[in-house]
This record gives sequence, structure tokens and C-alpha cells, in this order.
Amino acid sequence: MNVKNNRPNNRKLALVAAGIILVAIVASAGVYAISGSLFGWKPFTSNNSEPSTSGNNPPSKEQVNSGASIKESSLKDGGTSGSDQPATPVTQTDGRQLVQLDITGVNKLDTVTSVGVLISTLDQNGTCNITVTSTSGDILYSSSVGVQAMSNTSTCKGFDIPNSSLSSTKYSIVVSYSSSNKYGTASYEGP
Amino acid sequence: MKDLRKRLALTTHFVIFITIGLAIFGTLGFSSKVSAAAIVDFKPGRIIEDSVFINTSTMTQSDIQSFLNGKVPSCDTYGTQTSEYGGGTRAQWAANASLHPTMGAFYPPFTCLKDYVENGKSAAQIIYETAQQFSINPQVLIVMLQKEQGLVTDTWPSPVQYRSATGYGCPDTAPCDSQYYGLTNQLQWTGTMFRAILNDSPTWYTPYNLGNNFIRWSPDASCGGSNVFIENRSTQALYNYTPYQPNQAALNAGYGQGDACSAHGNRNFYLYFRDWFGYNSGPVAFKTADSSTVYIPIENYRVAIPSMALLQDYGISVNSIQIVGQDYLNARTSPPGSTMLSSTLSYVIKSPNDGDEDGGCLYLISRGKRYQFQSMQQLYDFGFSESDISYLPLSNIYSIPNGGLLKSFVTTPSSSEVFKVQAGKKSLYFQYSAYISDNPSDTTSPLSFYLLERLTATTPITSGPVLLKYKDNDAVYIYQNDKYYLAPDYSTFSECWRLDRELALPLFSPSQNDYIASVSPSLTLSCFVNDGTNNILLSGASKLIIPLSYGITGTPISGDLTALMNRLPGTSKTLSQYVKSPSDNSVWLIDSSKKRLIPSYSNFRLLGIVDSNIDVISAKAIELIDTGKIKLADGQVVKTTSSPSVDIISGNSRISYPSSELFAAYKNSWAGIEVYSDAILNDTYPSSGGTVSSYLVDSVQSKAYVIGTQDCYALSQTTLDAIGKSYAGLLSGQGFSSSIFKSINLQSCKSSSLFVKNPSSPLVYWLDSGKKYPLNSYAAMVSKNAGQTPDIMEVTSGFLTTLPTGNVIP
Repeated sequence: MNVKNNRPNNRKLALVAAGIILVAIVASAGVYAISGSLFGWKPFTSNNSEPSTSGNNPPSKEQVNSGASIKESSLKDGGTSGSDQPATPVTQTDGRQLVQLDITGVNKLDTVTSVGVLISTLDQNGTCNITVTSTSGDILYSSSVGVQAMSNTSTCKGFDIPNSSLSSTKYSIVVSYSSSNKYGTASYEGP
Repeated sequence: MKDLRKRLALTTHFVIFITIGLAIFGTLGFSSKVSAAAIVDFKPGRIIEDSVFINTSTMTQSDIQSFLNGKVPSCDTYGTQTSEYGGGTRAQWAANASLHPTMGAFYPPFTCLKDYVENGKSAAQIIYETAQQFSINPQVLIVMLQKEQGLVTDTWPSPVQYRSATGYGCPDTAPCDSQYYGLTNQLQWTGTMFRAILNDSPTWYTPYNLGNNFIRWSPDASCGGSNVFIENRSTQALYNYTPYQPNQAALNAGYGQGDACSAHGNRNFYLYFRDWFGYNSGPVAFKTADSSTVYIPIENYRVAIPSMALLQDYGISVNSIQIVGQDYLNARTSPPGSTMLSSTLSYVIKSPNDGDEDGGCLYLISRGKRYQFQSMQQLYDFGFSESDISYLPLSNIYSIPNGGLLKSFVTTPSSSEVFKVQAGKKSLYFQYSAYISDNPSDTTSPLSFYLLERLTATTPITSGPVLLKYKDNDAVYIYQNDKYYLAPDYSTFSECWRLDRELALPLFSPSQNDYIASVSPSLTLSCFVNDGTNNILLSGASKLIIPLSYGITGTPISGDLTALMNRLPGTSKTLSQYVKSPSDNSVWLIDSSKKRLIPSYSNFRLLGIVDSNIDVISAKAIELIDTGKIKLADGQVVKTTSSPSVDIISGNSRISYPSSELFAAYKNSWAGIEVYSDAILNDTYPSSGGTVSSYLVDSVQSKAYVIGTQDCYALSQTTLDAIGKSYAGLLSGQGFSSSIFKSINLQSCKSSSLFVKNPSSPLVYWLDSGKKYPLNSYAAMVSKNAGQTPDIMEVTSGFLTTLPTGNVIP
């Protein structure tokens, strides 16, 4: 059995290893070049490479793209706003539009319980009605107020229910909104 | 051999492992900087702090303009670039209404926000004024413009984006154009709404209030929502403006799009504000009610702010300091030593570790930004040492807007003044030419008043003579070669040393007096100078040589000042003895180092002055000459207020008219009498005791005259003999010159006669041997004149009374 001389193979291995080491060095240098810092060290007087968009620096690509997206959204909507527009009212068979209505908060304060209502349309001439009923169907409180426009939505001009009217352990709040051709309703079970 | 192969194999595996590892490390390290970063610190109940939201002092109008400029480095005014939305170029896309039918076509030129003007006001001005009007941080309004329309970064905005700039809707029944549309109206509505909510206005209703609220993820009701505990008014205001909260998909997307149930408005507000302005979470600064020490939160610790000035340099308004309870304070201790963070903040900051991403750079904090020191020497130049450094986490350092490298040339916050900072001192540049010569790149760092005050003022820098004037007094200094020459008031400078107008020397007024080291003038300037050869008056554009006889001595000047004076235009001529100022008709006589007022036109004429004799000199120069007594001309008829006696001026005294008859005989008019106070006349022109008589002697012509009621008469020797007078006798008794009587022309006097009469009487006298003889008849008169009718002198009655009367000649 001939003993194979391994020396040439060892040389090949050494050459392959040297080549790999060279690649590693080049890769490391590349990494350094790209990241600007292998271990975070930089010369004292260098400009830091922080991708700052603050102050008067140019915006980042993400910020520009986000702005373009906002603009596109706004222009699709006729330029009203690129931010989140309220849900579009749904036209009903009778021609009136059903508006999304939310009771956003029922907060019990010292003497009154405040009810917040979000009307997902821009209006300043409608009417809001609130009816509070007990579980037995008794009307504990009812009131009617006007509507106030906000930036793109509206709200009822404040429902402050006297706490004395809510002595019942359970009650139901129903808020309705109506204007010339829009309407909506929302309810809440409390407390 | 196997060992060798094993070692080589191990080596190979290690190298491959390291290579792959490094490659992965490098790839991750790079990609982490460009990929969308998920938001992990969004607090739905506290999107922004009230103290930040209402901090109106974060930006000046100029800051806003600079910010807007920075966000749109290049505006695509004509839409020549490719549209992000397809459809060719931006101009083509805009013009193609089918691509955006709800808003219709629009056309270039497109005006970027930085260049936008409405009603004569720039966008920056509108933003700033609205912020101040409603006491809202202008940064909030800037972010609203971006969040609602993308206007801040848009390089080709459409008109409708300005029309609805903050997305504030117009109710159907409202007059949209006049009240809702346009940048100004939109910001007004946003400010109105925010301020009403911040004030908890009882007339502004809000669906979302402090405390628990149900807030949807999206306008799509099917997406649901969650309860949010709104912690402050600012967050309440934001939700009432945009009534949705971001879902997790929106937060994970960073600036990108979330999912079908994502709303982005409040997320975008949070992101843009955080990334553009920092400091939108946590109390910006806080203190307890019973302590004056103010802290800022750093991680979970508190770091003391040693002064309100420093607080403001960190961009934090004093108004934003929140009063917290002791529990809040106790929950945040000073950073322990193990953190290597400082417990007290200073103007110089760095991260604790030089191995941090920024290499442990040192930063100077000024006017809400950080500026990187370029060397330790620069740290010393700005008057700091190593002991002034405070250590903050790098994330906190990065949250402070980056102002770039700190320059050794710094500007003041409110003006264009530039200082050179070195060795702990500041040197103010008086001239742009000197500055630009030292700093050709014209790059400066803005320094706050507080930082400027830390630096000792030293000699200003110029490249030639300049003028210095403090705002709070009239003095003007000429500064040249480290010397100051003081013009003690502005008129001395503006009327005499007119270096700004004549030589175009720059006039510099520092906005703060202590921007210049204390000034000690080498010389106080006057309008009168002496250059070693002449006394010279600097007046207007003239240099007038003052004759020695005037008795005026100028301030000695030499060297630089003489050179400056010589550069002043104007030919040198001799100063007239008569002067006046441009703004006053008074004419003065310069006499014995004083100016003497010529009080009337009559004197002016009697002195024989014509306009060409008068030099018009500056009022300041006239003011500088001491005032002497008034100047009355020879022949001026005067009287005092307290006496009916009328006198005539002769030299420095006055001669009395003994009678009105003689006053009239000398051709005086009553209107020509000038009245002066006793004090002036008696002091300046005292009575000589002499009186005017009917005899008048002209010593120049050696002739004597009689001044008659209408005419004067040259006395012949015969007549002198007849009245018993001699020329010499009359001359010695006169004591004044005949020339003072300007109305009497002795050259036109008639020949004398031996016959006299007074016009008030028909009686004619014949003169002889010192007496007057009444002639009783015409025949007697003709008889005394050899049968001829004689010429008769008409004389005053006073003259006749001086002659004894002889017998009547029948």
C-alpha cells in the first residue's frame, strides 16, 4: 500500500485557509466601511454618523415617503386631509345617511356623569338626544343638546347626567344624532 | 500530519465562521439603519407632554424658516421630476385630472412650504405668530402640517394642500373660503381647538376627555378599539383632532403603512415630533413645590439643572417645568456612580463611554442644539475644562437636535454679530471684511446669551478704522490700531468728524455693551483741532484754518487721527470772523476766543457785513465756542428799557443824544432805536459821558461842520471866527469819530454862512465875534451881506441857544 504523500494537499489547505483569511479581512474592512464603526471607535474630531433628521437636517427617505403617502391620501379625498378621515356615512334606502356614532366615555365625576359622543361627520347644525333608562325600562334621564363641529368630526354639546339620576345599579344610555339628512345612534350599558 | 490537517480544518472552520459572522453582523448593522423601525415607546394615553406642547419658545420665526428650508433642500417648482404616483412627470400627473378626479388638475409652478407666502406673510411667520397667539409650541403646528398634508417635506405641493393645510374641515353651512381655507385660517382653527381643549374651555365640547375613553383603531368600526386612559390635555387635544389610535400593525410599521385596521394620524404626529424635535415624552423638567432645584429625567434618574439659563439652552422653556410630588422625586434618584452618568447637567456633555457610537464626542449645548467640539483645545478656548463635562446616555444626547461641528466663530441669537472665540475670550468683529478674511467659509455656530456672557470680551477685530457707537448714549468712538478716540456726542461726530459719510467708515453698534472690552479713549475729539501747524475747524465737508487772532486753540492731534483728518474731503481755507450755523439765522462774530451775537439786521448792515463774509459752519462748532457779549455796530442807536435817553454806539461805549431835535437832525428814525436791558447795555456798552452836539468834526478831513435841521454845513474859517470857535477846540471836545453817523454824508454838506435861523421862527441872525445878532429887517440882512441876499443856515434851536445874543440890528 502506497503511502500517499499528503504534502501537496497540506499546501492546498494552507492556500485555501490563507484565501479565506484574506476574504475575512476584506469582508471586515467592508463592514467597517459600511457601518462606519467596527467597535464604535472613531477619531475625536470626526463627524458622527448618526442619521439625524432632527433640526434643520434633511428628512429621511421614510419621512419623505410617509409625507408622500399622506399627500396622496389627501388628494384622493379632494385635499381635505391626509390623516385619518372619519368613516363615510352610508346612504340608506330613504336617502338619509347613517353616520357612525360612538359613546367615547362615560366618566363619573363628583355630581354628574359626563358622556362623550363622537359623531363621525362634520356638522354643526344637528341635534343630539340622550335617554337613560333603567333595566326595567324606566326613563331615568333624557336631554337634548346641539352639535359642535371639530376638525373633521363633531360632538354633542355635552351630556352631564346628574349622578342622582343614575342611582340604579344598571342603566342603559342611548344617544341619537340627527340633522337634515344624517342620523346615527349609539348605546352604552352601565355602569 | 493528521494533527496538521485537523488544525488546518479547525482554522478553516473558524475563519469561515468569523467571516460569516462578520458578514451577518455587518449586514444587520447596516440594514438596521435603513429599515423601518417599529415604535416601542408610544404611549397612547400620553402622546406628548403638556409642557412640550405649550412651549412657545422652542423656535423663533427664523428657526422655523431654517427648519423648513432644511426639510426641502430642493423644491421641484416646475414638476420636472418623475411622479411618485406614476403618470409621467409630476407636472404631467398634476395636470391629468383623471388620476385624481376629486380634486381636479393643478399646474406648476409648485410652491414649497418654505417659500409659501399668504397675505404677505411667510409660512414661517404664520406658524410662529399662530403659535404665539395660542401659546402652542410651533413645533406642534409644523408637525400638524406634515401629519395632515405632508407639506413640510413636499417638494411639489398642490394648492389644495394649503387650502386644507391642517386638515381642519369646513362644515357644509360655513363660509369655507374666508373662514376655513388657507394656511392662516387652517392654523387658526387648529390653534383655536387646541387652546380651547388645553384650557378646558366650558364652551368647547370634546368627545374625549381626561381619563378613560374608548378610542377606535380605525374609522372602520369593524376594527374595534380599546380603552385609553388619556393622561393630559395635549393628548386629549390630539385625539379630539384625530379620533383614532394606532394599532400594533401601525406601530410595527414605523413610518410605513400598517394593516387594513391601522390609523396613522396620531402615530405620525408622535413619530415626526420625536424624530424632528425630540423630547415628547416624560416631563421635560420638574421640581417639587418646596425646592428650587430643577431636574430633568434621564433614564429613570433625575439630573439637576444648575441654572434656568442652562435649562433654556437645552431648549426647555422655564414655563414647562412641572411641579411634582415628593414621591415622584424620590422615585428618581441621582444616577449612581456605576452608571457613570452625572448628577448635574452642564453646558458640555458626552456619553460615558468613548466606545459609544459617536466615539465619545464632546458637545456644547446652546440654544436647544448640541455642537460637537472639534478638539480639547476648542473646549479650553470656550472657557471650559474637563471638570465642566457632564455625562449623559448617548440616546439622550442624540435626542438633542444636532447643530454639527462647533465653530470657533460664533453668532449671537438676535443679530448678525460674529465673535471669534479663543483662549476663553470673545472678540467681536467690527467689519465683515475682517471676519470673512478670517473665516472664508462663513460658517458659524449660534451661541446663547448665557454662553456668550461666560466669555470675557476682549479687543474687537477690524481690518482698518471703524466707528463704534453704543446704543444707549450719543458718544461715538473712532477705533483704530487698538486705540479709541471719543467724539463725546453724536453731533461732534456727525457734523465735524463725518467719517461715516465722507470716508464710508462702518458705524458699529454692539447689541450688548459688554460685547466689547471696557473702552478707555486715548483722546476726546472736538470740532477744533490742531495738527501741529494750524488750528483747524472741521465742519461739514470743510476744513477751515482759524487765524490766530480769533484766539481759538484746537485739540492737538497726531498720527492716525491726523491721517484720518487729512483723508476728509474739503479744501482748506481761512475761517471768516463772521459765522452762522445752517439751521439758524443768527450771525456771530468770533472775537477773542468767543462768539458774539450780532443781534439785529441793523447792526449787521452797520457792520458792513455781506453774505459772502459769513462762513456757514456746523451748529456743533458754534456751540463749542464760548459765548461772549453781543456785538453792536458803531452808529447803532439804542436805549435802555428804563431810560428815555437815546444813545449812539461808538466803539465799546455809547454817546447820548441830548435832544430829540438833534436826534432828528442826525437823520435818525424812531423806529431804528433798538432797546436792550440796562444790564446788557451798561455792561457791554457803558455810557462814555459824551453827548452828540450840533458841531461835528471830521478828524480825517480836518473839517468841522454844523448839523442843521435839514442840511449840514462845512464851517469855513470865517464862520468859525464868527461863532467864536476853533477847529482844534471842537475836535478836542468831540471824543468820538464822525464816521459813526452813518446817515450823515459830510461830503454833501453845504457851505457855511454868517446867517442862521431856526425853521420854527422867521428870525434870522447874523453871526459875529462869537455872538448872534437878530436882524430886524430884510434890509438889515442884505446890508450885512454887501447888498446881496445871503444863504441862511437852518440850524437847531439848541445850536442858537449856545450863542450869546447881541443887540438887534435895525
